[in-house]
Amino acid sequence: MRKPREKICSKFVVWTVFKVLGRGIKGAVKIDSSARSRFDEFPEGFVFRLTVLPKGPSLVLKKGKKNFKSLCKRKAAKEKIDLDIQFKHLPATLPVVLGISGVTQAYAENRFVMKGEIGDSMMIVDIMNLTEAYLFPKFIVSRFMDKVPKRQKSMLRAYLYVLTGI
Amino acid sequence: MKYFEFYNTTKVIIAEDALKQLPIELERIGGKRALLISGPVLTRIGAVDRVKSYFEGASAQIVALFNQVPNDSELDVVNNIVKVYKENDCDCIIAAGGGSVMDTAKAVRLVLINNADDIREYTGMEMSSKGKHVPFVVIPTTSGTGSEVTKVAVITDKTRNVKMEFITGETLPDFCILDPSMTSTLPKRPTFTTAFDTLTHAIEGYTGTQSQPLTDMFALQAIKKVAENVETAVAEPENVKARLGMLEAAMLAGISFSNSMVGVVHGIGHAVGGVAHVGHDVAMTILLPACMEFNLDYLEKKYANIYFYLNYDGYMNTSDKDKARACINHIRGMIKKYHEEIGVPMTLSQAGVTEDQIPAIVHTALKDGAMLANVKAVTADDVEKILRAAF
Repeated sequence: MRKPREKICSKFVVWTVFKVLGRGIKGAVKIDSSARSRFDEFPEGFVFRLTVLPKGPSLVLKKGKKNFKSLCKRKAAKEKIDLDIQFKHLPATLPVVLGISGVTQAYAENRFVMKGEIGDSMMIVDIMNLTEAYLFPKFIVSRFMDKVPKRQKSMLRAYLYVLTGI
Repeated sequence: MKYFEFYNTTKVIIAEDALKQLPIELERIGGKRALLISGPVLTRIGAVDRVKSYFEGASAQIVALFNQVPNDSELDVVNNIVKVYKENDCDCIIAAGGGSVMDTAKAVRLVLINNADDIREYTGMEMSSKGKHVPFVVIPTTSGTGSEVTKVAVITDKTRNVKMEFITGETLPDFCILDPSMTSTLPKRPTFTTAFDTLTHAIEGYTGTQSQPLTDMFALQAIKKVAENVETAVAEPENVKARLGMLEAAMLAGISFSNSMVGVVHGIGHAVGGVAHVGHDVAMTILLPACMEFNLDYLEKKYANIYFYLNYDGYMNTSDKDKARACINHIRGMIKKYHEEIGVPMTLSQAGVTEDQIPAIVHTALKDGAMLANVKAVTADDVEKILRAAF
């Protein structure tokens, strides 16, 4: 059984990575045309949630006119979620957030359940893969991605958005 | 240690005249007033009457019939069938037909067990709860889709022009009856192309990212069964042994891919079907060799293993380094033989696909979940190359 302190630490790690991932996704949409074209596939108002059962942490993004907007817990509770990817528990989530395995491997190992259209999930997976290609160095990403997407801009540019929103 | 899951709760009843088990097995799982779901063609050729005949004198009865399921399962049809089920106070479902009938019946069951107003709430993976039990039995009339043992149903929502996928154990029937009399009227060409649907399921189940010891076992046996029976099933449609062998193959392949998923052949094949309206079995037949070429550098050892089951003599007479390529060539040879003999399309253009449809097919294929389970990542360029190679 996981000790409470370990659980709190794991939860904090996942929460932090979700925060970075959320900003990373928005950064990728801003600077990368491949991410942008996937973003454009979704209707305005589309809500995507990445969460860990039973009670989070969660990342909720809503498509606005120009980019995704992060929604806090309170605002997310009022929305109908169009695509909901729910990791079954914290241990199922950690390898993905720590760059040990990718979303594809998580899918192969049934680590999450999903509510919504498979087609939408494929676009989101593409955006997440592109984001991870910007956030992690190639030698890490290539461990869990068969083909690492090509960055159109530098990692520095992506991190500039993550840290400052510019 | 690798993590994997295996789930299959369907009882399989397979034999010549296995249909005679239907009423008693249905009663055993609590079914008394059955809704029979089927299609118009099956009604016309007498398959529906054949199923009904087994209920004479039985305490379980078929009290309602819906025999207008179209070739593609549709949301409106699902909702209509649910109404028929409720109006007739039915308590169980029998589906007799091909993939479309089985998928439609699976969706009907999902609505009923969840007491759902809108089945779209259950789109996705593992979204249904167990709910109240609705006894459900499937009698396949083709030996290809394996839907009788898979936990997937695909339903088209025409208003949004979207194919909804329901991947959940609650779509698995309580039992299925594999009776060769229900497939003996299948003409030669679909007998061959549905056999290739089975072969594709088995090959993709064996070679995908989710393959594991249990699914490998079912997949390889399915390949062996196809190799042993397809020629006879095509040449002698009334041959009971061959028809039984093909039913077994489809079922084994179904159990395999239900747990290990499929890959690029299905990813592109679904798109070819959606954009160019090519039948699923025909698309699988045409795309299998081209997709195997694409995956060859990742799957040499596995293709060599497949060759052992597909063509033992060829395997023993081929050097190790050539076995994988020989496997692909053997599959090409099978298609070419039946193209020449019975007109099976070998290329996408022969199946009616036009070059201007390729961009739309590429775009649709990349959104197919099957691509995730392919061992090699697939890009838009890759899809286009495969399509042109198969064109």
